[in-house]
Amino acid sequence: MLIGVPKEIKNHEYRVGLVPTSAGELVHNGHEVIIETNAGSGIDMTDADYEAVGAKIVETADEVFARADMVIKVKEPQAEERKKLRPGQILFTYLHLAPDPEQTKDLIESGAVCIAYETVTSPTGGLPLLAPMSEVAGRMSIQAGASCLEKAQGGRGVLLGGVPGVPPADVVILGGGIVGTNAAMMALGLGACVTIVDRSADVLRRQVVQFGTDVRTMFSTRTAVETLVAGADLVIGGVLIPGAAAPKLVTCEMVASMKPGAVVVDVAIDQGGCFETSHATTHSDPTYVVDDVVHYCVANMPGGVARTSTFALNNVTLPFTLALANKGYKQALADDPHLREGLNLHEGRVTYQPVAEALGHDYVTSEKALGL
Amino acid sequence: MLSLRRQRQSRGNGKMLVGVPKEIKNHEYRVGLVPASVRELVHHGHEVLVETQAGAGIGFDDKAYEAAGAKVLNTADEVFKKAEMIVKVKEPQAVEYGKLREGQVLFTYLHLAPDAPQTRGLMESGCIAIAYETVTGASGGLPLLSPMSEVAGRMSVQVGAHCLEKEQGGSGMLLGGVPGVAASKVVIIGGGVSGTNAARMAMGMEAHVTVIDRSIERLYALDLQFGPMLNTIYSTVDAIESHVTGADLVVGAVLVPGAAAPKLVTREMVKRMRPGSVLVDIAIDQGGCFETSRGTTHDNPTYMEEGCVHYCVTNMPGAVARTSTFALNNATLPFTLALANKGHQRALAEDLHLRQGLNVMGGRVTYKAVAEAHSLDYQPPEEALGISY
Repeated sequence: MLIGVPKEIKNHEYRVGLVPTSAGELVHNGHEVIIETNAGSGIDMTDADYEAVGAKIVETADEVFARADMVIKVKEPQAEERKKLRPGQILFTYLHLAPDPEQTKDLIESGAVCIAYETVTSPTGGLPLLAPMSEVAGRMSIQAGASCLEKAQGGRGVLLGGVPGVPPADVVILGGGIVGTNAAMMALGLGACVTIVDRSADVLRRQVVQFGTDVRTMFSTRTAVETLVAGADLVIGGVLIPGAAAPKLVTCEMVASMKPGAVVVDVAIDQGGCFETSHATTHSDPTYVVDDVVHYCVANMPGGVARTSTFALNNVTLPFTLALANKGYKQALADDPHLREGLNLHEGRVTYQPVAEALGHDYVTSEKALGL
Repeated sequence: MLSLRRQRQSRGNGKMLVGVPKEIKNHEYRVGLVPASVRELVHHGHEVLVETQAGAGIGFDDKAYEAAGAKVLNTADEVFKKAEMIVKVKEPQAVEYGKLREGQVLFTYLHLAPDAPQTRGLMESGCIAIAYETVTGASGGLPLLSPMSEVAGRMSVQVGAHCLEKEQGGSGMLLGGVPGVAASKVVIIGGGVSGTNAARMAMGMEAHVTVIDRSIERLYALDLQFGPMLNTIYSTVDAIESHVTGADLVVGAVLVPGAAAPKLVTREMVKRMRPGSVLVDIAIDQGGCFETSRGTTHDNPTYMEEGCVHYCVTNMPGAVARTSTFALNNATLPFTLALANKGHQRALAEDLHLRQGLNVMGGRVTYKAVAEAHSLDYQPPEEALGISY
């Protein structure tokens, strides 16, 4: 199969669909890989690195889209990219179609076979192609929070881990999922005092098994959230409900009750955020202040550490990319019900029910669309 | 408590008026005494005067000081005028040393060696200036500097992690990686207080950490403390070159007390690092230990040089002013109490280590390095205090 990787064109997106080692695996499996020039240059993956593993460098995105049987990307295709897709061409990337009628319309018209990273499932539950980005965002949330606690950022001037003789910061983590667990790991590693809040006692038990007595756990009630948030130096919002808007667990009043210079980091901002006071910001202007509380609500946090994120993403996408390339998409989707969950659009038809419902399109099961 | 107080007063240990002005240096939010320290002084029978809003930047309002037993005054003038001892954080600024008077004790960071105008100002005031940074410890070291080194060391890793983000010009590496993705390589040059604290934080964030030091004893101690998680390397030009050029984050934590930091990392080495790698120079207050370092501020902390992000903020601990103030008070309070309880004369006479802090007294320089730096006459502190042994 001829696999193409264009350079990402969304503003401040430095990630890339395939790292050189992934391209090398595909070449090793007998496929041909074409990479747009400088596709990985933002994260120190040079054209020479790709050529060294047997990929070919092409000069334009047009050429990549015109020639490739399968296009591998990171972010959803932008309008000018969507025009370049053709019927039957495979697109494997993050799509997030439900809130995006324009993209959905264009992709339907393109006739391409669109497989979304974010809806691929796993035999053990969860969304395996979203998980690494949650890991990255969870870990990053603590370093972002630590930075925001500095006076120059509007913070209260508290060092996360304190020093011997001076107490550490109180970090409250809402949600004990992948984001929350990774945030807790970093915060504990820096010596902070960490409390994880979750509405599942089982999740809290797992936290205690993992972190032992270092971590405090609290069953999520309104009272618990209210009390903990009011006393916290740093609150991490890591509450994600797959496919739905994040619940607004922290109200305006609770934010107002926080200490001046305290910090909230809303990792759930891509799903609307879990603080009532949250609104999305960017890496170039990441914070704003409400009621003397610093808010860090950067959408697409993992883009900030694009090199690590690209490797993490490739580790989970590569098995699927290989299956699609080795078997052809029809056989790969037929053989693997979890990959099949990723099929959002097939040659002009919507094959993922929540997208069809959200945007009022007809829904066809992927099995029927594929003729299984 | 009350009987103790009477006892002390009957021994002739009168109460002392201790004054804390609000710091006036730009972006300085720390304060000489936290409310808990005020309470200790009051408990020992002293009176404490605090300028209004002195701790407002780090969450101590006037009420907190009043609750601890301090009197809140409206102006710095009043504090300087009434107090017998002034406790501060930063060296007095020109407008402040004009307010000092003969016989008044000043206990704060001074850093006089590179600062001729301040030295002259303190000499002319006739005050008794005791510098935090030259007080020594019974077990060696500089006990009133080390809490700031701890803070700077710990902070260096969190700022380094932040600088590695693409938006800051970094290579886009997450310090600890994630399962399946390589962690960042952190190289810490210098295994002293700063370096050890940096190593601890970097290991806590799951980075791959190497400490380079020229003292094999220090490396033994670090190995004992952290075990196999930490890679320790003996400092040679070769070792620095090979580790620095492969590092994602280099923390410069080399401090030679009272001297300029050695330039251990050359421009050539920086050039060979991966583009977007980060260098944090904790030694910048002593001139920095990278050839490419130049001082920056918290407002504008970084710059790019040879493709690498440089974070060279002078006075790093100021950023986490609340934590730093507590840490500093923990170290200074025993000395502050001794000075208040015994009076400066006896406190300095009885404690050799506190006496090392005496820099200027009665118009004479009593700290040799400062006298030498400004070609002034040096009077040993013992002589200034009129102690004979």
